[in-house]
Amino acid sequence: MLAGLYREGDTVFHRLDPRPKLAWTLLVLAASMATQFNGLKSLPVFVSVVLSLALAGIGVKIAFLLIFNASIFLLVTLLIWVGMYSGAGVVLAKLGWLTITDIGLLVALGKFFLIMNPVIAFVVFFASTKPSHIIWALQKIGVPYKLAFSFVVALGLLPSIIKNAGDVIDVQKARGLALDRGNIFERIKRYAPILIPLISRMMGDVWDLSMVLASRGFGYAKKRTFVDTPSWGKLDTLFFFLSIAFYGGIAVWGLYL
Amino acid sequence: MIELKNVSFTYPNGPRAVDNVSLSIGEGEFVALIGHSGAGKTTLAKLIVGLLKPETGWVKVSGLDTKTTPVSKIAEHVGYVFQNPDLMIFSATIYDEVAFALRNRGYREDEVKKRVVQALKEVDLGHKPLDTPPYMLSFGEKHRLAIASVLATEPDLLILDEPTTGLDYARCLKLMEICERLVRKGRSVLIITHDFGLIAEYAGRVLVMKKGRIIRDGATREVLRDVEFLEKEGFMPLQSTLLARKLGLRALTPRELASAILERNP
Repeated sequence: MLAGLYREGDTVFHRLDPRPKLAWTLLVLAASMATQFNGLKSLPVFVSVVLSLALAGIGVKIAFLLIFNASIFLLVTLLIWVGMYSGAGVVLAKLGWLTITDIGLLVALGKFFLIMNPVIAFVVFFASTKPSHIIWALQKIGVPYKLAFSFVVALGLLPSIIKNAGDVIDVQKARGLALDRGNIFERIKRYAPILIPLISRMMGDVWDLSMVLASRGFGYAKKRTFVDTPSWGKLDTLFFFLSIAFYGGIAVWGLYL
Repeated sequence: MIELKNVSFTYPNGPRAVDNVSLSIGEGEFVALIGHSGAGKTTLAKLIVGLLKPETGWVKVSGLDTKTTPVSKIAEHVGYVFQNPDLMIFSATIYDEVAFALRNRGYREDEVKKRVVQALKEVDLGHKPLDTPPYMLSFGEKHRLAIASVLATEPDLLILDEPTTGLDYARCLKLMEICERLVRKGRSVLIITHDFGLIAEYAGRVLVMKKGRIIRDGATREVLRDVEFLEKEGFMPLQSTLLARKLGLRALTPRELASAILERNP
């Protein structure tokens, strides 16, 4: 269950201490927030996180999945934000009811990157950091062990929730549930037979896990030890300061220039 | 009624779960599907229900090609009882739970009620008030509720995926009797199980799967008495069959063995 999103590997990202990686993830978030109204300024952040996907050896399939979902999300974002800013800036094109302006386009791209950049950064972080190292790093920055452990367990439950959701959908389809019939409200209503067993199963899983942990003496010892602990090296220092310089520079550019 | 022709299926990033399988199941057949974990039994069942679409070949259920027919339509012909009943139970009462599939098909409420009551009786839940919340039931009772909700639809083929898990022996026998009754009515049953004792007593035909392929398809007595084959494939033959062999008798089940011994030494 704790395996979660982690993928075993021996890449640059896998070798980094989790603390500079966590800092990098938060810096990506900060830089994306600072440049959310100008997509061009967010673009270098996007390029850097896509590069990190390759550096972390995430795999072509997951990368394509992310890019495919991103392109659908981009389309939706473009429609919403370009539409909202159709009255501001220079008109670039008119597509039926939609007026595309330069400001609309930049805001739309900025909002797209605001979501996509941190999502990719967090995927890289969780996929390249052992769950026990995440707990260790959180503890090092002052998060209580039980809270850090619960956070990692919650992450670990994600793949199991996705699998359970697939199983429940299969079961209900086999009973004749057609999710693709009716209007939008009817379709939403049809999800009740999926959500109820799924939530019930999740609660059962959490209950079972708490029993397992209690039976194995979780929380008995006040001080927690770890089998292996990461150590901060030169590469970590370099990565940390480069990240601060790069993303900090972009954030200043986005906010003040 | 069910026909599979050169069916193969591979999960994304996974091995070939079903490999060039061809078989047919006719009306009134009681078929057991056996195989080790990961042999492809559940995948084969999901291909028959239409939840998975074959990569190559085709699956036809009562003439309907599962590739082009929606699962909800196939569900009118095939009932599938999953291993874990908790995956399907969502209603506030056992009545609504069993009625779910019937309402999906648009039955009138009086017909729904008749079928629900009958199905609950068949699985020994008839004594429970119809407004009993399913979450108050034990695991075994939930399993029987899941079976009832499928039985109520009177499917042409009933697929039971390891249905005896969590059931005591008496309930297992009861379940097999329900299946037998369905078979006598001309409906078919496909049971995925590791319980050779039940197979020997009830199934007429056995399919053995290994690495996605059907490696044996034959009459139950013929397959389960082939001790060499079973041992070679890593199955444990029935103790009664092994003892009968040692005694030079031809018997499959303990009952048959006892009769054979009595006949020899009256």
